[in-house]
Amino acid sequence: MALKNISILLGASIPLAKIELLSAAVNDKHFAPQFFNSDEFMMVSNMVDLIIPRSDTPGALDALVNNYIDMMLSEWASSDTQKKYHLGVAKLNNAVKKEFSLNFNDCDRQQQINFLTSIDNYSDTNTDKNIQFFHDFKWFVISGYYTSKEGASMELNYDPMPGIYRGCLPYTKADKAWSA
Amino acid sequence: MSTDFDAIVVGSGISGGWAIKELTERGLKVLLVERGPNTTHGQDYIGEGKAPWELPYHGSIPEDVLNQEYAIQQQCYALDDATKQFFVNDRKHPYITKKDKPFSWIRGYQLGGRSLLWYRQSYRWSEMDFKSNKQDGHGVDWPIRYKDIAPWYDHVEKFAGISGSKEGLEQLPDGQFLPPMEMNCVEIEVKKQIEQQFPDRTMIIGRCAHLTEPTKEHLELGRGQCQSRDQCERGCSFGAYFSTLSATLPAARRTNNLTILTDSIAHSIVYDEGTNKATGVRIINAKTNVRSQVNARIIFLCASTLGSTQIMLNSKSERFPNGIANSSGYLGLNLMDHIFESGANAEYPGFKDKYFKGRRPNGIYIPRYHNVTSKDNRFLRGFGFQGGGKRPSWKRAKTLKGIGLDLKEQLRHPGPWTFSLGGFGEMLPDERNRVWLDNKLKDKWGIPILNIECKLRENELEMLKVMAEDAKEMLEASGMKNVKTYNNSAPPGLAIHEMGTARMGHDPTTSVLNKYNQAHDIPNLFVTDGSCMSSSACQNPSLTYMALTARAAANAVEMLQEGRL
Ligand SMILES: Cc1cc2nc3c(=O)[nH]c(=O)nc-3n(C[C@H](O)[C@H](O)[C@H](O)COP(=O)(O)OP(=O)(O)OC[C@H]3O[C@@H](n4cnc5c(N)ncnc54)[C@H](O)[C@@H]3O)c2cc1C
Repeated sequence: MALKNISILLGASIPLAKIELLSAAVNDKHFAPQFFNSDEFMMVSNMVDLIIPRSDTPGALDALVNNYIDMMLSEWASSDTQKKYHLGVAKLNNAVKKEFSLNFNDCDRQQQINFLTSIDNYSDTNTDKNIQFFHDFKWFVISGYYTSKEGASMELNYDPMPGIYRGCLPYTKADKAWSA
Repeated sequence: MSTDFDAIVVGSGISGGWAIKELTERGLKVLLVERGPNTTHGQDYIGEGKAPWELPYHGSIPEDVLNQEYAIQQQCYALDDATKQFFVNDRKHPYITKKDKPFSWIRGYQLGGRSLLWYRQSYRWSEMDFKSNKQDGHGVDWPIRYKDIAPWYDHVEKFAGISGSKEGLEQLPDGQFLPPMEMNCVEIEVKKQIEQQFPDRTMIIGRCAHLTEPTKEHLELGRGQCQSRDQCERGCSFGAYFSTLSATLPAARRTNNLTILTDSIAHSIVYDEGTNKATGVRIINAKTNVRSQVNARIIFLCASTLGSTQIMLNSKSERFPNGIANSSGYLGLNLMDHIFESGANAEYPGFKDKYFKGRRPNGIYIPRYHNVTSKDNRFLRGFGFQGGGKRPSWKRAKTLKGIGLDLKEQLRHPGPWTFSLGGFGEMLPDERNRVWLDNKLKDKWGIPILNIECKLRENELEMLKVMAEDAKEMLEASGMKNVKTYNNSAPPGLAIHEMGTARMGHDPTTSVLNKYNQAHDIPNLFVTDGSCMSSSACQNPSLTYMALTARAAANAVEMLQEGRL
């Protein structure tokens, strides 16, 4: 897929994260995070974008999953969960600093991808809190995205009124999955 | 308000819905007493048809609310932000259990009760089920047999609309079915394999209370065809699944014989020793706390198993110091549920070029096969399996590695087919499993709250083990990969098939109700919800509550007309 190559190419040379975030900010410039401070929110937005990027369909940042996560944490989450997320983001950033001597937001895109991919590859049974936190965060992004209008009805198929159930229809790789 | 009714029905769930329908259609003036608020079909289905992004928090309940208000109800899969108004708030409706003996009491207090929330699986019991107590000596003999209830199954199935396939199985009799729902390709394959390799087993499509093809009778009530949205618990304004609101309530209303009191908690039954009759119901207004009394010639208790039992235990008089109609002392004893959360899941390697359309609100069923034609020495009675095949979508990402475009591309397509089988097993009646009123703690209306003590014992634990083994064996034999068993032994109550605490029986010294759901002690008092059950069988019980209620109502009216009550 063409897009994929471009983003890898760009990612290797330019710190693309900030550029893309600018466009997200244009999408919703009135959004002021309630839960995260602006550095944290930038980091969260970067991770949201890296986990589910834009392709021929909107990515998680286009679906404002960063805003969704901030809203969920400020309104929906218990204080335990809130603590976990403040701490989790901070610790993750510390781990990045250890590796690259840079804050997550100052790393280039490839460094960010390498870092997140290496954490993601560890199994959940690993006792490192960073790993568990990232797996939780990744799931937050995925569930936020695929229940958003963009993820559920543009990236995947959403059928509000299917009618009679059919259990055995032909399927090809060109067909998309049902989001629900 | 006039206190002059022929009948009072307490509770408007599945049982109470049938009671008001059958009694009003036979000409009785009926007062329905419901503790929960009024609900209006359609209008109060606030989450209906909404996409996840249209719901607050994409449908998930804020964590503090969940933990503080729904500490118990959150164990139920059907609770979310779009359905929570149909579940009780646990903080307002406490009960007591011992730490080591949890019981999950899942409830809905509103007009319609849990008929709005149920999963709608509907199976007949068979002769074997009504004979089991007598045969192995657990519990008391059922005072009825299959032939007594069969015509009433016919009656309720036609009206409710049960979709299913005719199979000719002795242990799971056929009924008056609407067309069955479709199996998907994996289910068809698994069925073939299981039936070839295990000649005593059958796999069928689930039988469920959905209109796959509405009849004239259904259409006249404003009901329509199922649209496979599988959001039934939010309410369905098509009336495509059976609930009090979609079916029995409109039928009762059109007789003009029905009066409804909502927000009205039945506190206790009024007993008149002179005539040995139940003469009325004491009521507390749930909002204002105002107390009142309503009277009638006959009373039907349909407040759900533990609801009705609580009302009876709280109805004390000189003659019945331990609860009305409780001369036997059996009121509150022999609580049962179904045992579940044991089974297996697996992946199916084939049919990669096949997919489905729609969210079928139903699965498959493997009827009981243990102790049917030959005896199994490991345990008494048996279990059935529910389950089905599907191709999971993005939710499988929980166990997928990777981020970025690769991950997105992978999730754009459905995962491999998976198949699950989960057992539902019979629990033996046992007097040690019981409920009683607390002598100190009361709810906010001053009603003594229930203590519940219920535990799985040897027979149940053995059965749970075999469920997981059998599920594994069948999935492996069907060519599945990655077969994983589980046996979580859910707390009793969580199958939401609680029953048995005012059992039917021949003998007034060992049972509360007779073969017409009539209290042995008091001829004009009827109890027709799950509390009447003498055993639990392993099938989902609500269809049987419907049939027993309709039968009891017809009989009560006959006795009333003949001057026998
Ligand atoms: C999520 C879920 C899935 C289920 N799936 C299935 C299934 O697939 N198949 C199946 O057969 N069963 C299923 N059940 C169980 C089924 O819902 C119950 O068996 C059925 O609703 C019982 O009917 P009922 O009328 O006895 O009680 P309910 O439906 O609970 O109704 C009782 C009514 O009485 C009212 N009440 C209680 N106390 C009082 C009082 N003191 N005064 C006045 N009113 C009172 C309540 O508010 C309520 O409206 C399921 C239940 C749930 C929650």
